[in-house]
Amino acid sequence: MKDLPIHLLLFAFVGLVISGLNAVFADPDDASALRSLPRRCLWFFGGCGVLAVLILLAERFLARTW
Amino acid sequence: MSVQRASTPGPSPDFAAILTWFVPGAGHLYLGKALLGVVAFVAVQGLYLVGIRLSEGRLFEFLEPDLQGPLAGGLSPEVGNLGALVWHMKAYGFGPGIPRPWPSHIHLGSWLTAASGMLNACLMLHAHLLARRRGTSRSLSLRPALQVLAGWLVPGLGHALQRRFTRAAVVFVLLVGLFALGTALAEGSNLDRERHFYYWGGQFLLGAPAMIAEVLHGHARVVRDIPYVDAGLVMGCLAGLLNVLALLDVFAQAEARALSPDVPAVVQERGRVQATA
Repeated sequence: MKDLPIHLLLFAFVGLVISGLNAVFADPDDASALRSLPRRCLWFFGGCGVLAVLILLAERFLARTW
Repeated sequence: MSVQRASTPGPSPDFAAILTWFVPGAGHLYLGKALLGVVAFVAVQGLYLVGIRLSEGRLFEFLEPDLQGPLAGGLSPEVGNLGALVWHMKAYGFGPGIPRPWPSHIHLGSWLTAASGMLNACLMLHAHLLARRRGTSRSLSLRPALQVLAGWLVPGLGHALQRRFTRAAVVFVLLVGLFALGTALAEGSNLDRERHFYYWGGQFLLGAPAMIAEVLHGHARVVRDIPYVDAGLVMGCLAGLLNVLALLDVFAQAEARALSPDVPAVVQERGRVQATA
């Protein structure tokens, strides 16, 4: 992919914002919401990583060209 | 002092909210708040009518022909004021289909019609909460709706008004930062409802930052390829959509305080009370 590091950086920033808002929305206490941010980021990026692997596997084994 | 509730069934909160959705202020009239209902009707519909006047009702002519369907307005911010949106679509539709110059204040007009939808959504929240408070011994101020409106206008301001300053700062920095980065990547081309009708609708949910950016850098002519325009568009729109989560958090807090005003609703406050005790 062209400019892969830039795309990954942008995705990392978007992921951080999504996880941050997730923490704010899910936890009424500020301190514990901030503490939970690394865990939420890990879950988010881990989940996205698994999804990416599944898509790549599906593309590798299921996709075909006519 | 405990909150006393009436034994007879009160007005329906859902019905009050739906009434307000169709006719601003009607839900408040239904709940016996005639003055508030009339003021709400005049403010919300006045905003929409001024917007229509400035844009000459041509807002939905921004849409490409293949997007011009009966539900085209369903994803626009104007859907918050459903009655006016339906009337708008019936009265003006998608125009005659002949190319002609846009009115000079069409963008300001489109901001006003969209703001009317947002304002009415806040009134729906208030009517719903008001109906749920009927039968208690206390009246309900406009504060919950105003806090949500403030949170739309400036991300984080709703939290700040609830004295949740850390949360306010986190929300502001994350959302405005995401929007600024998206706008920079799109080189300002995202700040135009004519060019990106639905993405603009998402950005609108960020309130004043999106409006100020549009006034300063919007509607520029695009004369070359912008490498990261798609990423910028998505990021700007996402910032607005994520602000809805922040607004829901503001409303949940306001709702908890309104429905049980004697019980501190925030954990920090709980901690402070315990510490004081």
